Amino acid sequence: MNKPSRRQFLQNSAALASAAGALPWLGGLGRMQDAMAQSTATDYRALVCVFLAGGNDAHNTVIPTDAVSWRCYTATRDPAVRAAVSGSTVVANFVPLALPKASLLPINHSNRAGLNTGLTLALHPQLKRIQQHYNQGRAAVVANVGPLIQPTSKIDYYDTTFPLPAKLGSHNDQQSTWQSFAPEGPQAGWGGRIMDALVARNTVSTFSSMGIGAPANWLSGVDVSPYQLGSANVAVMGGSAGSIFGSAALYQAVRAASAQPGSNSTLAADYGQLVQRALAGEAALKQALPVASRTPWGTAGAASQAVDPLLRYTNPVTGVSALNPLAAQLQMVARMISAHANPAVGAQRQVFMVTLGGFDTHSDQLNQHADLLAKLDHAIDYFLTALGSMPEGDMRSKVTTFTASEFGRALVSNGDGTDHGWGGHHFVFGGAVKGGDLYGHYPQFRAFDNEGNFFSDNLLNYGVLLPEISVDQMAYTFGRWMGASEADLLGIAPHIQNFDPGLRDLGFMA
Amino acid sequence: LSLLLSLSACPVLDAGIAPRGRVEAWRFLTQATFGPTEADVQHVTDIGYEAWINEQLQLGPAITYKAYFDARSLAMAANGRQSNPEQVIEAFYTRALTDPSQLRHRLSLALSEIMVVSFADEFIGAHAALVASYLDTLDAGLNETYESLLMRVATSPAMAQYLSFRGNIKEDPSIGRTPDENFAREVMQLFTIGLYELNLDGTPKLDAQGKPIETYTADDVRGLAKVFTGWSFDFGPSFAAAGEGDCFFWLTTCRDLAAYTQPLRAYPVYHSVSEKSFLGVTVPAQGTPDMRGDLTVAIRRLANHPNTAPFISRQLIQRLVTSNPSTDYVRRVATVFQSTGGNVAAVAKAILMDDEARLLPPGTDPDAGKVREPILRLTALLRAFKISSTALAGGLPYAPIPVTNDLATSLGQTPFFSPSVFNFFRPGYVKPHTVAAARGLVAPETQLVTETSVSSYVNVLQDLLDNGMGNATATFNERVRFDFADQRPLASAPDQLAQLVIDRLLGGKASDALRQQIVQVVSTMRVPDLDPSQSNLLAVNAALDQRTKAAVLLVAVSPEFIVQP
Repeated sequence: MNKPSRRQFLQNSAALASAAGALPWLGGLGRMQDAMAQSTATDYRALVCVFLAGGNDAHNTVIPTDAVSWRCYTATRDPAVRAAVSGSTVVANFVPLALPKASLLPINHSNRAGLNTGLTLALHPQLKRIQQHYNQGRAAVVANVGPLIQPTSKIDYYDTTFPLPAKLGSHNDQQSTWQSFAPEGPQAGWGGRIMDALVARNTVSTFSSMGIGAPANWLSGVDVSPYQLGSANVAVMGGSAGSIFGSAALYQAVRAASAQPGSNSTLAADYGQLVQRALAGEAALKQALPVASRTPWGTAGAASQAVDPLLRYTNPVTGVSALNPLAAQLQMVARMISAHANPAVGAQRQVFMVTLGGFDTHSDQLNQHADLLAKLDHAIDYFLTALGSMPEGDMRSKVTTFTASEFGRALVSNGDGTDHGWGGHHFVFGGAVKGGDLYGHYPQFRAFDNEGNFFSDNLLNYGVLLPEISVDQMAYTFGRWMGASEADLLGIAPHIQNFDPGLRDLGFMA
Repeated sequence: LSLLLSLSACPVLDAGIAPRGRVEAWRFLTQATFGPTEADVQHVTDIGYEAWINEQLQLGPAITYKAYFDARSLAMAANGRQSNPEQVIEAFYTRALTDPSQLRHRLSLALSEIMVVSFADEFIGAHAALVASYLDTLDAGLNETYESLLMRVATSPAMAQYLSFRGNIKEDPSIGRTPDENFAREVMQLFTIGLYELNLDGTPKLDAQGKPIETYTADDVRGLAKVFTGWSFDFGPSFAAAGEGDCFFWLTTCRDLAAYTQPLRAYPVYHSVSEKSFLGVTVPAQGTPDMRGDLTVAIRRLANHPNTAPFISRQLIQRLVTSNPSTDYVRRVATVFQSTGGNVAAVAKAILMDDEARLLPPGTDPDAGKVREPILRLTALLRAFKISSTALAGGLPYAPIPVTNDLATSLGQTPFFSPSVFNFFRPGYVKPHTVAAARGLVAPETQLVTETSVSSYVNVLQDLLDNGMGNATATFNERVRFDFADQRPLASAPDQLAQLVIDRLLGGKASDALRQQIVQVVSTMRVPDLDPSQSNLLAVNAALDQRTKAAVLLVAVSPEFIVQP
C-alpha cells in the first residue's frame, strides 16, 4: 500500500491551514483527519454500473456504416429501402427506424485481433460528448454482449439441448440475469460479489456497495449488503432539528421505536434491522458527505438539483431543458466518491449503480431513444468532467463506468418501434479504459428473407443479436481491474470457466 | 376450535364467523379495507364477516373515477388550472378515505398492481383521463369472470397505450415489419399465466429432470402479438370525415378525446389475417379479418389456462392478507377461482373468509402477514382518526393528496405511478440479507423499503401530522389534515391516550416497549393549565394535540404498524 509522503502531507496541511484559518481548532482538526485519510487512499477504485432499463436498442446506438452493413441495416429498418429491394410498395404512415447516415457520429477502431475487417462504425447523433470521450481515449465500445452459459454459435442456438440462459426476452428476468446470472430471485449479483472479495480493504463495510433509488441485485453480494441512497439528500430520520413537535424525547423515541420489532414477526424484525442500519449510515453520511452545491459536481448556490445547470440537459425532441435524472444520480455517486476516504466511509473499493429507465421502445422509438441517449450523453460527460477535477485530484483513472441493459432489441421494426432482443453493445468509460477502440466482434450484417430469417452468424430471426461476449467476461474483466483474485473471479463470473482462458479478460482495462 | 365449541358450556362464537373482539375485527378490516374505522369495527362485529363482505360487494363507488375527474377538471378549468394525474390520485384517496365501498376499491387497487398502467408513461401522464377510465373498467369487471375482466383490460385505451398496441399494424414481410409484441408478452407473463407451469396450489410443476416447465416460447409471443394488431382509439361522428388511417394512427386530424373512456375500436385493414398460433391454439388464416373472433379466442385461452387460477389467486392473497400464503391456502382460493370462472369478488371472499386469514390469532405465526405498502400505511392512518379537507364546490368529498413518488423525500409510491408494468414491487421479491430471505420467505413490499425510505417515511409522517398533506401555490392551498379534537379529553392521561391510539392503529395490541415509549414521551410534553377565563384555550388544545400527534407518530413508525399481522 502506498503511504503518503511527508511532502504530500505537508502540502495538504498547508492547504487546510488556509482553508480552515478562521475555524475553531476542533473543526480544523476534523478536516485534517479527513485530509490524512484521503492522502492514504491512493489505491482507490470504483466501478459504476449505468443500467439502461427496458432494453437499449443497441442497433441504433452503435451503427455499422460500411456499405455492406449499411445496406442490411437500412433494408431492415427503412421500409422504403426494403421495398426497393423487394420490389414491393410502401404503406402509408411508415416510420423508418434507420437513422439518417449524415447525422451519425463516426468513430474509429483498430480492428483488434482482425475481428472487424472492413467495418466502419458510428454513434447515434445524440452521443456527441461520448464520441469526444471515445476520441480522447476515455471510452470504449464492447460489441454484442449478453448473458451466455458458454460460447454459443447459431447452430448451437437451434440445438434444443444446448444450455442457454433462462427466460430470454423477459424484462425482469434478463435484468436479473445480467446482474446476477439467474432469472428473478434472491441471488447475489456480480457487483456485490466483487465487493465480497474486496470488502476487507475497506475500513467500514457499510458503503462498499451503493445504489441510488430502488434496490437491484447487481449490488448485493453474498455477504455485502448494498446501501441505497436518494440522488439529492441523505434522509435524516426525524429531521435535523433533533426534536419533533418541540420534543427531543419524542425525536429519540421515534428513532428507537422505528428500529424495534415489538413482536416475534420475521418481517418486523427485518424492518427493525434495516432501520438500525439506516441510522448508523445516516450518522456517518451526515459527517462525511460533501454538499451537493459545490464544484465540481455541483454549482455553488444551487438551491436544488432541479436548478443546478450542471444537471440539466436539453431534450433534443422538444428543445426543453430539464433535470437529467441520470446526472442527478451520478451527482450523489460523485459526492460519495469524494467522501470515500473519510474515516466514516472508509472505502478503498466501491461499486455503485444508477439507473435510467424508459428504454423499452416498442413505439415512438426515434423520439424516445434520442431523448434517452441525450440524457446518457449529458450524464456521462457531466460525471467524467466532475471526476476529472475532484477535490482529491483527477479520479477518472480510479473510477470505471459502464453501461448495461437487460437486452438489446430486434433489428426489425414493428411499425414505429422495436421488440425485445438479446445481445447489445455497451460502453466503458474512464481513464483506466484503453479507449478509442472497439472490443469484440461487431455483428455480421447480412440479408434476411421474408420470414425474418437472417443469413448472418450473429443475427437470429428478427435481427435479435446472438451475443458473442458474455456478461461473465465483463464481470471477470471488471472484477480483475478492481483487484479480485483469480479464485474469487471464478465465483464472481460463474460461467467463466466455459470460456477460453485467453478471452476471459476482454482487454479493455489498462 | 370445534372441540372448544363442543366443550364450552356457553356458546362461543366461531372465529371464522364474526370477530371476537376488537383485534379480530381490526385485523379483518386491515385486510379488506383501506384501514379500520371505529364504525366499521362495530359493524363487522355486529353482522359478521360474510354479511359484511356481501354488503360491500353490492356497494358501487359513491363516485366513479371518471365522474370525479371530470368534475375536478371542470372546476379547475374555471380557475385557470388544468387537471393532471393528481386529480386521479385525489380520486383514489377520496374513495379510500371517504367512500363506504371499501372492499371493491381495495380490490381495484390490487388489480391495478397486477394489470399495471402507469402515469410514469409520458403519454399517459399527459392524458390522465385514460387512467380514470381504466380504473372504472377494473371496478366494473370485479364481479364478472376473469375472461370478461381481461377482455375489458385488453380493449381499454389506457392499456393499449401503455403496452403500445394502440395503432399496432399487421406484419409485412415485404418491408420486414413484425407486430409489436409488448402486450402479447406481458399479458401472459404478468396478467394471466406467468412464466412456469403451476399446480393448483401455486407450486411449479416439474419435468422429469426436476426442472420447472416454461409456459410459453418466443413463438407464442409472436403468434399472440398478431391478435393485438388493428386496434386503436375510437372516434365519434364528428370525426367521420377523417380517414380511417388518420384515426388508427391518432393523427392530429382524428383525435377524439372521448376515446379515452371508450373501448378500443377495431380497424380490420390493419389486422393480421395470417395463421396465429399461441399456447397450443391455432387460429387459421382468414380471408376477412375477424378481430373480435381472434380476441375472444386469445382472451379465453389466457383466462382459462390452468395457470391463471393459482397465479392470480396467490397474488390477490398477497395483496390483501399475507406475503407467504400456504400452498393449501392458495389451492383453496384457486379452486374458487376456477369454479367461479375467476370472479374476483368471489375470489376475494374466499381469501378473506379462509381459515388462514381468520383463525390464527395475530402473532401466532411469525412468518404471517405482510409489510404494508406506503400508500396503505397512509390511508390506514387517515381513516383511523377524524380528518378535514379543504371544501370543494358542489360538496364533492375531497382528499387532495399529491404525488408521493420520491424514495428519499416522500413515500416512494404513488397510486398508478409504477415505474414499469412490473409494478412497484414483484410478488416474488426477496430482500437479501434478511431473516425472511434465510427462511425462504418473499416480502414484495420491501422492494420499496431501503436505508433511505425508512427515514423519509418518518419525515413524511411528521409533516403530515403537523401540516396535513396537499398541494399549495400562491393562489390555492388544498390539503387534508387530521383533526384530533376528539382525542383531547384523553390526551391529558398519557396511558389512556396510548391505549386509544393502540386501539385505532394496532387493534388494541402493542408491545410493552412501544406502550411505555408513548406514555413516557407524552408525559414529558407539557400541557398548560387552562385559565379559569379560558383565555389560553387555544394553547391548551394545541398542546393536547401535540400529545396525540406524538402518540400517533410513535405507533405509525413502529414495525408493529408497518407489518400487517
